[in-house]
Amino acid sequence: MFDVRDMVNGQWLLVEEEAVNCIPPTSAKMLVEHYRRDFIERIVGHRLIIITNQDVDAVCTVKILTTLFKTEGIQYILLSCSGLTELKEKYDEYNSQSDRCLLVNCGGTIDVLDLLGNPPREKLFFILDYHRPLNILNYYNATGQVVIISVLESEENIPEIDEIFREEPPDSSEEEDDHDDDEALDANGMNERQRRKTERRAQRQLYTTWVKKREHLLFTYREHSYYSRPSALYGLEIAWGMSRDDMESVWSAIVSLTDSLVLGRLPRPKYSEYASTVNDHILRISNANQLPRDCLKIRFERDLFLFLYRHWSVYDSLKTTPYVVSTLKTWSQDGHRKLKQMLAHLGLPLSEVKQKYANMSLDLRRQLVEMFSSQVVVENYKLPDLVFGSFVAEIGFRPKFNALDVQLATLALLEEPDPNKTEEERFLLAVQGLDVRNFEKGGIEKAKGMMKQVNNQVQMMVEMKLVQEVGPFLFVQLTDSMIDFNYFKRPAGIPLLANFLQHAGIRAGKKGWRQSPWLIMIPYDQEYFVAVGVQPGAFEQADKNIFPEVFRCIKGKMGEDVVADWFDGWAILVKNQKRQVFADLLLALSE
Amino acid sequence: MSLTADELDFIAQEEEVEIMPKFDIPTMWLITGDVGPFEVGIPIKVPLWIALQLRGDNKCNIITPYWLTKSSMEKVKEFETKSPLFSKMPSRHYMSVAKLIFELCPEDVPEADDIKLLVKDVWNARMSKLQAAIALFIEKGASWAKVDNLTQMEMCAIRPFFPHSLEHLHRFRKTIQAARLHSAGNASLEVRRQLPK
Repeated sequence: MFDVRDMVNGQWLLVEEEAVNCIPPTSAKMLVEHYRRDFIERIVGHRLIIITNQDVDAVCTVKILTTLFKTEGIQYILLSCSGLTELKEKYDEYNSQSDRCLLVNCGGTIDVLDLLGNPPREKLFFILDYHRPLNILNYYNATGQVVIISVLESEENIPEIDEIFREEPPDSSEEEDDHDDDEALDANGMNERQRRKTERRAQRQLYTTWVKKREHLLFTYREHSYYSRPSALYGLEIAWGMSRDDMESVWSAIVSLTDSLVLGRLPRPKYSEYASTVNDHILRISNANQLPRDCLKIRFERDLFLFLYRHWSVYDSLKTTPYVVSTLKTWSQDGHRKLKQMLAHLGLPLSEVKQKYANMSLDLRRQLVEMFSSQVVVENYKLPDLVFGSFVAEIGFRPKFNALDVQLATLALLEEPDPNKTEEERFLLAVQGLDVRNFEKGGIEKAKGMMKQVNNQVQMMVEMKLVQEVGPFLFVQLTDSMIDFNYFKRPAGIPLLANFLQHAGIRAGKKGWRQSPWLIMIPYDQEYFVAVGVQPGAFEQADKNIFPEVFRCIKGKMGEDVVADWFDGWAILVKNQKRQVFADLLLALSE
Repeated sequence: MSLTADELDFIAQEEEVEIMPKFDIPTMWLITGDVGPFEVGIPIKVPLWIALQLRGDNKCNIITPYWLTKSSMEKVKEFETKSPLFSKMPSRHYMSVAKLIFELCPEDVPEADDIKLLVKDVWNARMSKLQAAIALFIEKGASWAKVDNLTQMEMCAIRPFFPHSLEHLHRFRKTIQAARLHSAGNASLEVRRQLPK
C-alpha cells in the first residue's frame, strides 16, 4: 500500500498518507534560519523561477523581492498561476531553464515534490506561503529539496517526527520459514523461534496502535486551515537581511498587511502586532532626520476605516463600507435615516459630506478622525472599530494616500473582469500599479466599481431574501446577473464579498444565525458556480476554517463534477447541475 | 569648445565623494583608476559616478560633501549677496553635483529642503551679478573683460545668449555705419567730418 518515491541511504520513504511508514529522514526540518546564508546565497549565480499565486499579498511580495533581485543581479523568471494545474503546467514549461524555484503563496499545503513529479536532486524549492497548515512532507523532507521560508508560530503544532515516521517492523509471516537450526531450549522452556515470534507479535501490536494514533494526529493537524504572517513581511525581512530595504519595500509590506486585515485573514490583535513591527522598520529607515519633501514618508496614524473616502465623498464611502453598512443596515429606509442621524449628531452638514473629499472644508477634514472615534459613534451607533491604526503615505506635494485605498485598488486591478486581459497580465499590471511614485488612479476607479458591485449583491440578498436555512448551514445563492461583471471569482477577492454577505445576512435575519456556518454560491460562468464555505463569526475575527477538509471529502465523492484547484481550499468550483448533490453531501458530512 | 548642460553633468561626475558601502568586495581595477576595497561600514572615497550607481542599487549611502551643508552654504550665500565679485566656489561643479545628489537620494542629505533653497539662492545671486556685468560690458562697448571664479555651468548658461547677441550688436553697428557713410556721401563736408569713424 505504499508508493516508492526515493531511496535515501537504502531506505524507503513515505508518500501516501494511508501508507506504511518508514525511517525518518536524516535532515529533518527544512526551515530557513538565516536569510542570507540559506536563501540568497543558494540562488546567487542561478536563474530563479518565481511562481506565485494571484493575490494581493503575492503582488506585494513579488514587488519587494524583484527589486532586491535586480540590485543583486539575480536573474528571475516571473510566472503566476491561479491553481494547482496551472502551477504544474508552468513548472513543466519552464523547469528546464533553471534549478532554483521560489513558490510564493502556493504549494505550502500540498506535497510539492509529488505534484511536480519528483524532480531530480539538484532542483531546490523555496516555499514562501502564508497558507497553513503546512504539509508535513514539505516540512520533513528527506531529499532536502524543499526549504520553507517561515518562522514557526506557537499555534502551528507540527507533529514531532517520530510521531509520523517510523520503521515498520518485519512481518511475522515472513519469517515463518526461518532457520530451523537453533532449536536449543532457553531458560524459559520456549525455544528460540517461539520467543522471536512472540516478540514480533508484541512489536506488531505496538505498531498498529501507533498507526492509529498517527492517523488521529494528522487528522487534527490538517482539520483547520488558517493564514499566518503575510509573505510580504518575510520579503521585507529578506531585503532587510541583505541591507537593501527602503521605504518602497516597507510600503508594499504595509499594503499586504492591510489586505490580510480587510479580507479577514488575520485577527485584529495580530494585525496590530505586525503593524507595530512595520512601524519599527519605518523608524529605523527614516532615522530621525526630517525627511525632505521628495521622499516617500510613511506614518502610522489613526485613520478612518472607510473604503476609498479620500477619493470619493465621505457620504458615498459610508454607504459602501461593509462595516458601516452591515452595522447600521443602510439598505433599508430605517438604516439610511440612522446614518443621516449619526452625521447630524456629529455635526457634519450633509452638504459638506456629500461633496468630494478634496472639496470638503479643511476644518471638517481635520476633525473627521476625532468625530468618528467619539463616544457618540461608539456607543449609540455601535461602531467601535471605525477608526483603526493605519499607514498613510505622502510624497512631494501630492495628496496623501492611505494603505486601505491602495490595497483596494490593487485588488481591483487583480480581479478586474476584463475579457481582454489574461490573469497573468492582470497580475503584472497589479505589480506595476503598486509603484508609489507613479500611482495611477485607474485602480481606484475600478475599486469603486468593485465596492458598488458588492453593495448591489448584498442589497439583492437582503431584499430578495436569498438566505435559506438548510440543516446547520445557511445557504446563499447569488443571482446569475453578475456573471459578466464579476469581481469576485477567485479566492483573492471573494472574502470581501463573503464576509460582507455574512455580516449583512446576520443583521437582516435572525440572531441565531450567528452560530451557523454559511455556504455562499457565486455564479462563475455558464457551467460552474463557486461554493464558498464561511465559518460562523468570520466577519468579526479571522478564525480557523474547516471547510477545506470538508470540501476535500466532497471532492473525493463527487470526482469530476468538482474542481478543487485553488490554493485556498475553502472555495471550490461545482457544476451547476450538481448543485443538489453537492448540498446533500454537505449536509450528510455535517452529521 | 561648447559643452551642453548634460555634458557638464557627465564631467562633474568625476568629482570625488565619500560613501558608506553596504557590501564587501575587494579592489576593482578600472581603466580610470583603482577603486576599493569596499568594506561594510567603512567610508571610502570614490568618483561620483560610482557613488550614484551604487546608491541607485541601494548598495551604499552617500556621505554629503562638507560644502553641501546648511552652515557652509549659508556662508557662501552671504558672501555672494554682499560682494560684487564672484567667490571661489568649493567645488568647480557645485550645481551639477548638488542636482545629481538631490535627484537620486535626497534622504541622505540632512535638511535637504533648506540646502536646495540655499543652492538656488547662491546660483541666482551669481547669475544676477553676471548679467549686471554683461550689461555694463555692452554699455561701455568694451572688447574684453576679466571675470574670476566663474564655474563652467554658469558660463554654459550664458553661452548661447552672450556671443550671439554680441554678434547681433556688431552687425547692427556695422549696418548703421554703412548706412551713415552711404548717406554722408551725399552730404556736406561738415557733416562728414562730424560722423563717428
